[in-house]
Amino acid sequence: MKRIGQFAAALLLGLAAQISIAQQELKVGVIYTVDGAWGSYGQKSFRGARMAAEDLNAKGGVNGRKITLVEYDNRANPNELPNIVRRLATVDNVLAIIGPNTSGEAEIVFPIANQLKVPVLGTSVAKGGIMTKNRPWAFRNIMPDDQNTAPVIAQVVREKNIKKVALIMDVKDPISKYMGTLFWPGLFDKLGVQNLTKNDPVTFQSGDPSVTAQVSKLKALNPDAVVFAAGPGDAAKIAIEIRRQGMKQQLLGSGGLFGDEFIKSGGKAVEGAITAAQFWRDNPDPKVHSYVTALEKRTGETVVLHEAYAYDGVLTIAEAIQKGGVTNNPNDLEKDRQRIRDALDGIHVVGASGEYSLNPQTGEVDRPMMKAVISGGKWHLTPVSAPQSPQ
Amino acid sequence: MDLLLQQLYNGVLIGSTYALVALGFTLVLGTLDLLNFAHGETIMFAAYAGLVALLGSGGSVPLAIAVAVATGAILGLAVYFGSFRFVSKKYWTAPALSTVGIALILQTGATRFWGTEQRAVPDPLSDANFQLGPITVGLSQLVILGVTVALMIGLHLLLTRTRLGKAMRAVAENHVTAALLGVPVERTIAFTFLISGILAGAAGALTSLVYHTITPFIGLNILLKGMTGMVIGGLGNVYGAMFGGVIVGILEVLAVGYLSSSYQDVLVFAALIAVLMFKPAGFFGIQVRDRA
Repeated sequence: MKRIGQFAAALLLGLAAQISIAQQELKVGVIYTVDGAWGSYGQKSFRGARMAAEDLNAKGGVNGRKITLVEYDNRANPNELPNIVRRLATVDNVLAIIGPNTSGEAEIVFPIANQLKVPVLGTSVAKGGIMTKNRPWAFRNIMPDDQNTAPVIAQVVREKNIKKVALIMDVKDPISKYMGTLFWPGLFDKLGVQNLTKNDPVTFQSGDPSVTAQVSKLKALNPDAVVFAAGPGDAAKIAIEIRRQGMKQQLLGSGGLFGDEFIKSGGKAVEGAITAAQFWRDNPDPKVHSYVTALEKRTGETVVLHEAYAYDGVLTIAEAIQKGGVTNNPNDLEKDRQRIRDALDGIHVVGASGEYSLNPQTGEVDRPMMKAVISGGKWHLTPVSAPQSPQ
Repeated sequence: MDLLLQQLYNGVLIGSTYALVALGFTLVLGTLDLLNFAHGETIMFAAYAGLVALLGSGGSVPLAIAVAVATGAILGLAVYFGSFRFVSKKYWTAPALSTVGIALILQTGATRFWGTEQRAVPDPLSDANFQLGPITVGLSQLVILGVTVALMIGLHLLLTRTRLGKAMRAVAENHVTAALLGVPVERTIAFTFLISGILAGAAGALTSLVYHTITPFIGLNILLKGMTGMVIGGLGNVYGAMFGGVIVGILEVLAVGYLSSSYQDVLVFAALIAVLMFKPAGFFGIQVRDRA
């Protein structure tokens, strides 16, 4: 009898300890994927999020509680996402969700998170117009391509006296298709630039092995500039073929091209190309610089946009947990999620990706916009002011 | 008209690489009646090996092709041993499905090893272009066409002028009869996989040069185009595979040039369906019949 009593006491103590530990954890869901065409971005995003959680926990966590990431890899399969989001919300009971990898995936994750009233923060979801349908629970700390690109290209068109452009568009990728069918034509109409491909678009599909035929078509149009509505790898491939076919035209692109991949894949063919940019790795701000330096020292690699934005995604949620006064009591989960959501409205963060705030009306991020030019195999950034939207 | 000529040239160039793919695929199909679904991934993996050699050697195209060919040959034999030699032939699906398994291993291995991003394939001859009338021709493209044609001629000579070629044709005709006549069937099949792998390796190196980039996901696309070329040309017929590959390349380029990239697969696969409906043996195929 005595032994049974001791066993029961030990069991109760163990359970109590577990409950206590559970209440100490601040659970944040993270959804990315390391598979598929965007898997490399997912790997970097996971790494960025993990390093942020480690850094926060090393400093004692948030209000003395440790951040625990509940990670899911949807293996590049969008069909897994509804179950993952529901599991995070109702089984794992996370306070908020960070992710997913792509805009197409966000169009699945955001509506469900919004319906379940779980704050969700996209860190690599750049398609324009995606937020309006998913308010008030969806936010993102990446600036949409259209918002970021318009003022930069307006300035370049003036500086380079560009009168006619030809656009090449990836019709398979949702962001590129949006940029190619709505954003770029609208912007060029507004700027009074002739769009030679307006009625006969030059298209390709990401994953198409060859773009030779498309480039021959662009060459026949003889534009002042070739404009990409494409991911960095594909745009680089097109640029190589453009130069191989003897075209000397200016190359223009959206903020989606900015990053190492475009230069690494394009080599000398992308010299002189101009895009918009939002992640400034060489940001001279001492706080941002210290974040970037610390991350690079840890990984031994150059910090890229997706890694920095995922890192800052965790910082942002942590800041909202603190600012919102989250209790982390299991009975208060719904209230805690509401507190985090409210705290995210207008939140101001300084992290590895720079300084930004989240707009309380739109859930979009406000960041400095920059023009990026490739010269000598490197990006050179200059700030651009006076944002203007083509829409 | 100038654009049309340029596009036809582009089509022949791309089509010649599809022809190589179709050739490697049709060799195995003709000899074994086996669909080798790992052929596309063999091409992809060999292309990566070629890229490593290209970068490591400071831009030596011949070395890149040689390494890709060697890798293709090794993988060809690996497919033979992994998917055919020791896999039960009692069920015809078993070898074919095991090639799917090898394809998945190769693709996943490539994504883990080289990442999922597109990798640039530097073309050391990219600046060497000249005009041939209205057509812009690159020196590297001529190298690609030259190597492709040489491989096709080499394969033709192998099949028609050598004992191995005769043995391959005999095995393709009937395994049992070939064995009764003293043909070493298993060794001949192994050689067939080896040659198919060599063609896959060459196709990998050349396609990556034509496309300027490579990803771990390129295999299926190339395989489908090669298979289509093979069916259009005539199942199991190597000359048909050469013809069919070029036709697929031209159709694809014309669809992109004059319609939209969204229609390139529509046009290619519509042509495939039309051939299957009206000329089911393909342009160079012989009457389809059951094996004994």
